[in-house]
Amino acid sequence: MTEKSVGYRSPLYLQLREVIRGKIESGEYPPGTCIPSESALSKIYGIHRLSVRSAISALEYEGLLRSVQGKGVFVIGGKDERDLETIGGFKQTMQMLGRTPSTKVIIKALRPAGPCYAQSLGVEAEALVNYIKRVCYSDGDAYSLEEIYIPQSVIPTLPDIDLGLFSIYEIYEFYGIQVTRVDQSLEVTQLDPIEARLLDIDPSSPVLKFQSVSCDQNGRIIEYARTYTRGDRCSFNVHYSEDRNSKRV
Amino acid sequence: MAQEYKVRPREAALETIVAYIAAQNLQPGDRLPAEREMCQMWSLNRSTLRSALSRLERDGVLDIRQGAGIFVARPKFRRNLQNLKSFTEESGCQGLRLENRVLSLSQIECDKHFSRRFQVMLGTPLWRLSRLRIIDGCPVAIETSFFRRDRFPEISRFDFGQDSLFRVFAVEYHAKPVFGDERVSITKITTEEADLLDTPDGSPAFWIVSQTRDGQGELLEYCRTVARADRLILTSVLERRELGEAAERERGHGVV
Repeated sequence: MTEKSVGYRSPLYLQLREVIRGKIESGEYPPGTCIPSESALSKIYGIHRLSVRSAISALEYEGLLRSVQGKGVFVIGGKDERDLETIGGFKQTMQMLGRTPSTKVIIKALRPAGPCYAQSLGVEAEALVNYIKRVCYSDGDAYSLEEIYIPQSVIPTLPDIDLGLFSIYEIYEFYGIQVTRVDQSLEVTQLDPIEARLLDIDPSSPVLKFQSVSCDQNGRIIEYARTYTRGDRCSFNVHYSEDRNSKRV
Repeated sequence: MAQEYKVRPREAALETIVAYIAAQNLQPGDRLPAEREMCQMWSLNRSTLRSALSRLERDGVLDIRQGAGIFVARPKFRRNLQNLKSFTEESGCQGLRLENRVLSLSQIECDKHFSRRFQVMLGTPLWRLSRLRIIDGCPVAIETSFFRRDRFPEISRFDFGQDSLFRVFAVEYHAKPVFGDERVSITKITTEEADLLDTPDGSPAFWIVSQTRDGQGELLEYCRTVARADRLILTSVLERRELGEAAERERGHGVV
């Protein structure tokens, strides 16, 4: 049965399916956030939990929702084709075969941009910016510490999105943001004792400091990121070619 | 429902100093106000300010000279790893003076490692060219290049103290470098290198291994570079281009 043919006489689960679809499309349930629980929906609409489950299953099947064990049911967002190839750029590489990656978010909050990040992000000093600080692990061994700054205006709902479930790039995609250009740099530095401890190294150990400024398809700066990587656990690769010097249409 | 993060005093101080340098358009060698003045200007306590200053010194932004003052440091040389510009061209672009000193040019034979890289038989003759790169009078890197003797015979007639290797390849041997890849990691400078690079033994350095190929994908040059970490920033630009091919995209994270 298609959306068009669902009316007040249709089975309740189909009607609920359309209600939820409508709220996804209108943005009431934004991408990356979770919809009300089965029991909540059951209570709100006065319908049986099994019907609620059927409605949700139908939308999961369509690819609009994703159910995560123990966490809830999340809105996926538009079906974007990943048809763009990325050229160039540093890729941090490490042996991941057979290892389990994980991240631990240390800070995820809003802060004023301040005079320094106002410049890097192209916003006012008073503008709010999402600040994410997290450690990346491979089989429980820390390999990098990331600090990411994203203006609130770029993804207003970011505070509600669980970064354990969606990568930031997935979130950009949900919102139709295409990362189009990233200016990157690599240096060697040392960490302060507290941060060194997060990476499980001695403060005197050198680390690779990777910085990037990312822009979307409209030339808007969407993110500034700083990643400190253990030199003994990773390296960075870059490919280059001659035609990168020529202008691309 | 978002928690608001309170920026720590030291972080805030750091950001303020960086913004001040930009706002005042301070150039390398320019002096910052005295510590006491900065504390007053920004209502900071001495230890917070000192902590921020020392961090900036460690990051290569400031130069703190005891008794003389706090100065904006000389910027690091920016090397774009992504184009095929030689050190020569790039330093020219940044208005810096580049000198090359040939440390050695010798003939060796492929061991197992090079044999595999160049896809030739064990024992195939190679050139080994070692050069010291000096930018604005400061030694920055030791580059050791390996390339085939049969492809580039009589290369000793060129003076690589003056000439660029890729230019010689392209013009004199019609071997045009077209693609390449580089792997960057960290290493520690050895005693021998410390002497040449004028930096303490055991200092951290970039370790860069690069492979440059011609249009047919054949390996032209295999190069190992040790570069002073305090003098160099490696840069790259990542761009998206429509090619109809799906690609996985992650923040500087590629997994092997």
